[in-house]
Amino acid sequence: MVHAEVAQEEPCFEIEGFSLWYGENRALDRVTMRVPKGRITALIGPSGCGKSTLLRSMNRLNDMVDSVRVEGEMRLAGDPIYGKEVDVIRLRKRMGMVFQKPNPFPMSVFENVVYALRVDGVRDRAVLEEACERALRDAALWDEVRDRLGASALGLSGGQQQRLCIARALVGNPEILLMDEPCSALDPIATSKIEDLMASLAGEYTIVVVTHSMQQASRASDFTALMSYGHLLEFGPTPTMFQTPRLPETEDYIRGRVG
Amino acid sequence: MSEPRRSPEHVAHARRRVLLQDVAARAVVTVGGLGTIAAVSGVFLFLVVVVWDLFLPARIGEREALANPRAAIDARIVGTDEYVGILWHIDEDGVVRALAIDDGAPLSAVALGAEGVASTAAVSEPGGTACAIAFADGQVVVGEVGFATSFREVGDVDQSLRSLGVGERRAVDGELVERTVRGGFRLQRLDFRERSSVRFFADGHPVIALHRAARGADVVVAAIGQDGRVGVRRLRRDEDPLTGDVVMEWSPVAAIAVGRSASGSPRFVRLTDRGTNLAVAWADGTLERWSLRRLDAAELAETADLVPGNGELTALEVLLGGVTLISGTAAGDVAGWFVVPDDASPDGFRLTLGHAFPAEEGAAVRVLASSGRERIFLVGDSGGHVRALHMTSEKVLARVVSQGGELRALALSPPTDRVIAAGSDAIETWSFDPRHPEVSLTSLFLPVAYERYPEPAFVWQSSSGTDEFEPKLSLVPLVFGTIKATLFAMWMAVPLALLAALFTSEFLGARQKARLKPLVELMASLPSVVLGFLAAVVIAPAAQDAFPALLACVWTVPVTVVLAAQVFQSAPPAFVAAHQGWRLPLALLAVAVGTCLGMVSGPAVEALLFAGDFRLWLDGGLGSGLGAWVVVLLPLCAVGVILGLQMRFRDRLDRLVARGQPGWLVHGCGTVVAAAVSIGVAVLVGFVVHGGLGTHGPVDLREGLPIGAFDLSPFGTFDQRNALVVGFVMGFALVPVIYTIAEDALSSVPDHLRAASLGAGASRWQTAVRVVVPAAASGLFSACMVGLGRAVGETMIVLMAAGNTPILSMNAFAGFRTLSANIATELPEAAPGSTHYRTLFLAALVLFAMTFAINTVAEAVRQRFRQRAVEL
Repeated sequence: MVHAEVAQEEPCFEIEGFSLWYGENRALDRVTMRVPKGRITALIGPSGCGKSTLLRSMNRLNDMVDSVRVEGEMRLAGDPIYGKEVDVIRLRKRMGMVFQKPNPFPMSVFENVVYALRVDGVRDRAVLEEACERALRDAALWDEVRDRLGASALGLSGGQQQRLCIARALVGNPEILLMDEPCSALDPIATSKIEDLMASLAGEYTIVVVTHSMQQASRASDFTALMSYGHLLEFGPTPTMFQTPRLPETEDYIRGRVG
Repeated sequence: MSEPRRSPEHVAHARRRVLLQDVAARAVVTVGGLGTIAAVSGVFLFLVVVVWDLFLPARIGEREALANPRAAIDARIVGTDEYVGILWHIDEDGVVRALAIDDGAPLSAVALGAEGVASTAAVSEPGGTACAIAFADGQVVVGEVGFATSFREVGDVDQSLRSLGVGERRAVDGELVERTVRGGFRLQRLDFRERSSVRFFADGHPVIALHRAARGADVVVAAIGQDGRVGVRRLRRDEDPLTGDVVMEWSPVAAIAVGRSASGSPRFVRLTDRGTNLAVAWADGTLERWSLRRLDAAELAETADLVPGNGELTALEVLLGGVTLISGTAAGDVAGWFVVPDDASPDGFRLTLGHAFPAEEGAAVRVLASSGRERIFLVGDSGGHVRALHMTSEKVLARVVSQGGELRALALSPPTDRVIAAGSDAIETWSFDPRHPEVSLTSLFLPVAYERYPEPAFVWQSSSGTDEFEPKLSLVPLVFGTIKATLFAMWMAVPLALLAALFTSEFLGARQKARLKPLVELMASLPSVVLGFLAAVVIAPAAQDAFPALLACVWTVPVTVVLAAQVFQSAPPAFVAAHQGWRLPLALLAVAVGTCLGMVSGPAVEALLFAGDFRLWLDGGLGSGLGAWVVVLLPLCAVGVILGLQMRFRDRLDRLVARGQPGWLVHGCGTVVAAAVSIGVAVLVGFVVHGGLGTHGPVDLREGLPIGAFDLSPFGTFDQRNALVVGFVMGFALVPVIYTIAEDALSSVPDHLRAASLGAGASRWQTAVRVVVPAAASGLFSACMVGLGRAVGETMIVLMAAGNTPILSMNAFAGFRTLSANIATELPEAAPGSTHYRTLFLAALVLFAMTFAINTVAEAVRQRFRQRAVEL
């Protein structure tokens, strides 16, 4: 059940009849979804509904798992994600990913941020420093860490670490930013900072965020997609989804009667 | 759960049972744990107790004076039998007298010279029985103070002797009777044997000093006449093999044309080195050393000064082994001298000061006497002070003061368990236990001046065929061997194991990993004796002709692999992405091709660098040392050249590719050029270094690269069982140890880090190298340290394949001896309680300390690693 408003948006990322199996276990069932460009799309749904799997499928992180099998198509700005001839590494460079748990590398703040550029072989210090500052400013972390760029990233607080991870994801100017429950390990203050950050990034970046928190989805997203048992149930503008959902299942879930 | 089972009685019962089980379990665990700790500490304690004895000082007992059988004792030399029951002395009247050492009861006496003729000089071999005595009438008597020994059973002896307890002795009819441990009786009687006398100088001129030395079956005697002339004669001893008849014949006097010193006639004459060297010394310390290799053509080899300054030489003696001269001065100084090789000298040797013992009392040294078993000697001075010294370790073992009047002669009993001093008034004895005089921390771990060694050296040589041999117990060659084995094994194992761990952890699927890891770990179950056997019997002979090819492979394999990777990676991206599965087979193919190339080019490499025959070249017989430098420098130059070229030309190459040139051609050419330039640079640098940088002659690595006593050159003479073979096989044994721990460390790096890196667009290799390896670094380090611990303690492989030569050379083509292999070979043949035995235990302790230190570091690092893993 996809609302008409979604279809009117220009798509950034298209998912067509996408299914995924972990061994014999079907985790995603013919999901079709067009992520609107420049908007924040929240993926909600009960635990195990497949929202994280869908997100991780979007940049093929599921390749790390041995027994994964997929069917269907995904496209980033028209380019296929799956297929024998796709260069995964080149593809991932076009996306940014933020994880549930803040996962800075055991390196300095600076090296964390410019990691994506480093692996691309950028060695020009001036370029790196500029990119670092821009990404940290975008992630609203610059003022807090500008004096300790050389310090270990593991010394930052949880919320700072998560914003560092966002800066790390932003440094390569990704076409789409994938966030997998970015606030679930953070306290309310850090969470609100991240949500503010997301709002400031919207427009410039396309963001897909998986969240467990209904409030977060309603506060911080433009569109909301509800998933259940590997299916996409309903996908529409966030206000509509939360006030006048079309499906009774959505209503039940939003009102807290399910899940 | 039904209601009755939860009844109060049931709960109470259950509670009692649980409590009982708790108590029992706690008791069992406590006993087991404490027992283990006690067992381990017990082993450690045992080691320490055995070793402790090495460092205890020598013991000397109370003075025991013998009842004086004569009004005055005028002994020239003194000694005991090997059971230390009979004491004998040869006196000024030319009579050898025997007496019981316990009570001084006289046993018998044998007159050696003519009736009424006094002796003028007498000498005996160190601690032994062979003597030479000179008489006032010019006669010289040589022979052996021996003892006729017989054994009797209880029934065969006199009634009065049956009451003797075991070990008790009694003098009976000139014989000493001792009850033996077996209950029988041992009877000993003085017996002067192999006597031969000669008028030494043809004109009957009296001899004032003499010395004797055995040269094979013959005896060489050197003497100084009263007028200062010096002569040497040889007593030939021919034994008819059929009849057993012995014919003894004196050679004519070989006159030695000694120089004249300001202090008049020479005072001392001493024969060393089995009578091939004659030392003639004057009271002012001047010493002439004559080479007696041919008796009839003695040659003056050198002149030395034993007493610098105005001192007076008051005693000169020969230490056991017949090599070292001991000198004593009027000031009380004592020194040990021996010859060392010296090309500048006419006979190729030079007398050097080996050891010096500063004076203690300041009284003139009167008597010197060497032990017959060890490098221990006694020094007696005019004040009656007697010191027992150990020459090699320069230790003062004991000090006593004689109260028997003026000291005439000193002796150590043959088992070195009693000090005997014959003074003018009394004969005194002290019980003595030198314990382990040759061992000290200095002798174990610092260079020691051994006889005939040009410089103090680290030597492990624990046994030899002769009794006169001095054990050389330096642990340094063994520690060095252990380090060498470890280095070579680690050099092989660490890259292999770490890369294998990285491969399984980062590039293999879970299912393949589950199959491969146990397989590698299975390697660890191969008994090391099997590996050692393979190394010694199969690999060493097979490898001895393959080294040039192997060296070539070290170069060809990386180049072909890099080339293959570049060609593959330069294909269109779609093709590369679609054929990811081909990478491993392609890499293996490249390795195979590289190996083939190396094998094929082996002979060419051998011809170019190693003069066509690697082993002969190594032995230094062929070609120049340039090849060695090229082999050493090539890897370094390759790294330097590749880094340099990359910095300089990488962008240009990229631009070429961008302009449409085929990438594989551009990068392939780059690789080939880099390889060629590296070789060129290596040859050039090698040429310069080999030339000695213009300062001195060619630096040939084959001749060694001495740093102190150590030779750090990886080249040198070739042994079939060498460090490379051991390194290869021991590396094989270490791989599973290092691999397992390293793989665990890599796998324990949280997956979210990998996901973050991959998500940022890094390749798997970049992820592995930039994120996973740094995160697991301490785990990898700890894996290497555990491997190191294993390598240090490894025994069988090195025992079987390392040749067991305790040398101090890093030569990759020579063997070595490790602490562990040394313990394994020598402990079974070491007499329990002996110095050798205890030193082997000390080697075990050192080994324990080394592995303990390594494992402690590994564990400390692993702890840090765990903390950090928690943070991630």
